[in-house]
Amino acid sequence: MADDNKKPTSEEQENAVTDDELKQIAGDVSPPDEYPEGQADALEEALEEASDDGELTAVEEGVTSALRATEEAQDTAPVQAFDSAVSGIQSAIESIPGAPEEPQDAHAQPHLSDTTVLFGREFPYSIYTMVFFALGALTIIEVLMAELLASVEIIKIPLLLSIATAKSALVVIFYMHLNHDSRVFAVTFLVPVGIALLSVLFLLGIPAN
Amino acid sequence: MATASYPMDGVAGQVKRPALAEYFTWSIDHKIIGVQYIVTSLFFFIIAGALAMLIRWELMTPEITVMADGSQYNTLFSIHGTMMIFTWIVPFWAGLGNYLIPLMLGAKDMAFPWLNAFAFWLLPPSGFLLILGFFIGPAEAGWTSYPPLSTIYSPDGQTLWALSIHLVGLSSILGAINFIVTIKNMRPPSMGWFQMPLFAWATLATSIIVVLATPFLAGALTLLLLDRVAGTTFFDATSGGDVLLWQNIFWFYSHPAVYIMILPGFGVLSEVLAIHSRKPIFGYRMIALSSMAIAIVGFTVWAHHMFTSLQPELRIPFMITSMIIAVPTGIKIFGWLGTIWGGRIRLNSANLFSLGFLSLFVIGGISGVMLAAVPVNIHMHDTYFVVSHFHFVLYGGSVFAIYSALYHWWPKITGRMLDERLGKIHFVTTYIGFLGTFMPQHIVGMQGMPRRVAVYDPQFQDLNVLISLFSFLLGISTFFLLYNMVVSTVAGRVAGANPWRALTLEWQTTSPPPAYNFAGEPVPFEDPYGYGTDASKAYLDAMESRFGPSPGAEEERRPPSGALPEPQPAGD
Amino acid sequence: MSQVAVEQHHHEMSAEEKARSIDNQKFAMWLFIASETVIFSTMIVAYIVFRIQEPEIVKGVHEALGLSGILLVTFNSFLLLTSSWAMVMGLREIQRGNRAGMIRWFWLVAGLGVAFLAIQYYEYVQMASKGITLYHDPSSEFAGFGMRFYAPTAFHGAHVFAGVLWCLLVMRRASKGVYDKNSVGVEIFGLYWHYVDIVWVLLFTLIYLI
Ligand SMILES: [Cu+2]
Repeated sequence: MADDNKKPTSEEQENAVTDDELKQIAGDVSPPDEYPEGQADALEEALEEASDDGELTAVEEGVTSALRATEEAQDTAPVQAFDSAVSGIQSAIESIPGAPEEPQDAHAQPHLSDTTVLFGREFPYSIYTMVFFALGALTIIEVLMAELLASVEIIKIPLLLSIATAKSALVVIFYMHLNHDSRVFAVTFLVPVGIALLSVLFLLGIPAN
Repeated sequence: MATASYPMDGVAGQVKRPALAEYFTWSIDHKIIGVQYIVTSLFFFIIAGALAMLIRWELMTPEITVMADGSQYNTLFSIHGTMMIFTWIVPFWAGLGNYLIPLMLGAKDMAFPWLNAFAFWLLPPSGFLLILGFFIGPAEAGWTSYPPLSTIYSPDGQTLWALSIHLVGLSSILGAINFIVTIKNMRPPSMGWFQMPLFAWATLATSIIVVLATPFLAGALTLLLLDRVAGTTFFDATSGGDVLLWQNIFWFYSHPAVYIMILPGFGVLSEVLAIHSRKPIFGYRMIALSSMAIAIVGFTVWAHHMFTSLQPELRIPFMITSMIIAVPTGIKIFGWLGTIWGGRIRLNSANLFSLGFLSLFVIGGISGVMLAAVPVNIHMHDTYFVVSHFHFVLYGGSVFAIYSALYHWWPKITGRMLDERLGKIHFVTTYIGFLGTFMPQHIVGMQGMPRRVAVYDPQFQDLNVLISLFSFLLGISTFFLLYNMVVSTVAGRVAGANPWRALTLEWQTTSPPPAYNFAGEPVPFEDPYGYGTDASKAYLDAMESRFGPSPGAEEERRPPSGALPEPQPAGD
Repeated sequence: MSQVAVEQHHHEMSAEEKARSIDNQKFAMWLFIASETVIFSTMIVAYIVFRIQEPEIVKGVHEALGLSGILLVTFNSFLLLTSSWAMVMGLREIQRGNRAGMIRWFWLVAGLGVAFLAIQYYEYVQMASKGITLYHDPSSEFAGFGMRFYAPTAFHGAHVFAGVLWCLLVMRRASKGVYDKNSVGVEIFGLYWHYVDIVWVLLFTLIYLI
């Protein structure tokens, strides 16, 4: 195993490429968006050269023509529509705000203020305290509704569910800062809620046993 | 950075492999953890494989001969299935992802190294809980564990089974969170979403499924455990419970879980086929986005496992969605065919297993579409046709992709090449053993042989003997790989940094990579699959001058005889 | 490859890497919350199905609890809501650089969490005395309610308990000045705590009011 440990010769060292050169070589452009062009022709030529009599077999012909058809299809409207849809999704993904660029200290923190402006009026509490008052008020309303409307389920249940949702939304938006955090977090939170609701609705639709 | 800092610790073969002891202790290096996952899962693979051999031995005769009784036989297939899925395929992909994702993205480690180690260390206890079951009466309810089989009729091992799956589930959720954050945040600035290697896309899609689906299993298992130990009756229809609740929640997890098991394999294929055909991948965006499509549609098909227990009017919608989900997979298959077509194909072991995957997975996929059709499903439900179908996609699919990945990335992980001759023997014996084992199961299944029975109609005996004999060949074939791994570790040919002349970033460092993987910022090539262009040749040559030649590549450089000439204007 | 080396590496993190790691932890917490949502949904769905199929039993339970029972739970909900408010106020203090202020608020968070658990325990005892049991008791008039009630609420209670422990840990670390420069560790605990609060908001409405 002695030869495993060859030291780089000085010649190799000299031939090595610097980082800047490497960046040049690696390029910084995106890969081409189109489907590879001219593959069908190149392939057909190569196949013709490779075969003894310069003729293509039926299979080879079929495949090259299928490849050619793929290449031609990229100029048609549906494929281009699909492409622009995909690019749209791509740019949408890329436009989702990512990690905060500024370090923590420079991080703008509007919720640190001691007053809240609501409906054009200034309140002497922070937004956190305002939300807390709202949560408490909604809870009291909930309990009152549950007692008052105990017999009218058709109104009571949707009403209570909406109030509970509103309370949760207040906590998520203001306490968990979804209002000024990355949209990725919002998606992360809402997708499983959607899936859970889907499974709940499905199981509700199935008669038990 | 100046040239003098390269190569990092030296040229090919000079970076030392980590000491053996590091693999047995708590380590937060993603490369160590990756190997820990892979070796642990291989260990459970061998145990679960031995159980499969026992199953086939028992099925040589239509009577109970080897096992003491039917319930002992139930144990065999229950633990076989559970181990293969939860402690072999799923953790193997976690391990491979752990090793490769930071390297492919040019990162120094995963986003949360400590969490990563924690997720791994949940795995060995979970496997041993399954094995421990053998001493107190193991689980007998199959890997699906339908109540009441898993509640009233199972011994205490079923409780250990549920705890074990709980641990694996937690482990894979934590791992998946780590993968998603790593892939989202740790790419180098010049690597956009659509310049990521496709294995990273596949791992991203897999991780999204894990985060959203595995908790369903965790919830169901919690209720199952309560039913078993706390006297609740969530799943007991005789006491106000609902048997179908388990089936619904379980398959709400477990159908997406089949994509947890196969999507990383799709990722492996996209890498291996492009690299060893020396051609750009055909339809990069289609392959990348079809993984995401599978992740989404995968949540809408679960009830196709319950066609015989669900109310009839729900069958047709699930039949339709189950057939739709074959479309994104088909897109990938055609993408891969377009990739290898006309390429300068290297028929080495890595590529052979990927090509084998292509041939077998298509068969498994088609029998899957057959089973999605309600009339066929009613006829074939719980027969050997189903067994054959899921072994075609899980063995012919996932395991072939795992083998392919092992041959492909082994040089990177260990710095040594696996022996090609042994690799080809491994491939041929596996392929023949596989086809001989699972092809005839289609036939006995269609003739009506039910699965999960030790005693069967004597008319099926001839085919079952044939199946068993081939399965023994399949069992033996695994040892060629294990032997190959041992020999390569001890005395394998030195691989060098980039024996396959691949463009993705994991190859642009030494083999094995040094601590923190890269010295300085790695520079990804503009197109991870831009093979056959002058630019990629220049990039690879520059990398070779940086890390030294790859002795393992010598055979690869010779143009293989009989392969088609390269259609591209300039080859590398 | 040793732990020491990795820690050294963390010290060398650039400002940009630090900014990313803030995002990393919050993103991971949100993903964890995503999977928690799914686990809770399996237990909640078991309750909802029961509520739809056996409305009389649920009504019976509500009557057995009486107004005083409902008010007790309402009070308990207030404790949790207040602790959520204390949580954000504490976070606000540490973001302003007031370590002591944050720890004061967090004592309130932990204390309210413990009070919540104590009241929940008292309530469980009351429930049990009325024949509402976790195990299936066919002779009870509330048969089937118990397990579907205890499973989600106890699972939630376990989250509150873990949250209290985490809160104490955060306070300890805060007193050592860990969060003076970078409060993201407090913020992710906050995400967890508020999430547990949201789950209670839903459970409270679903189980006690509807
Ligand atoms: Cu399925």
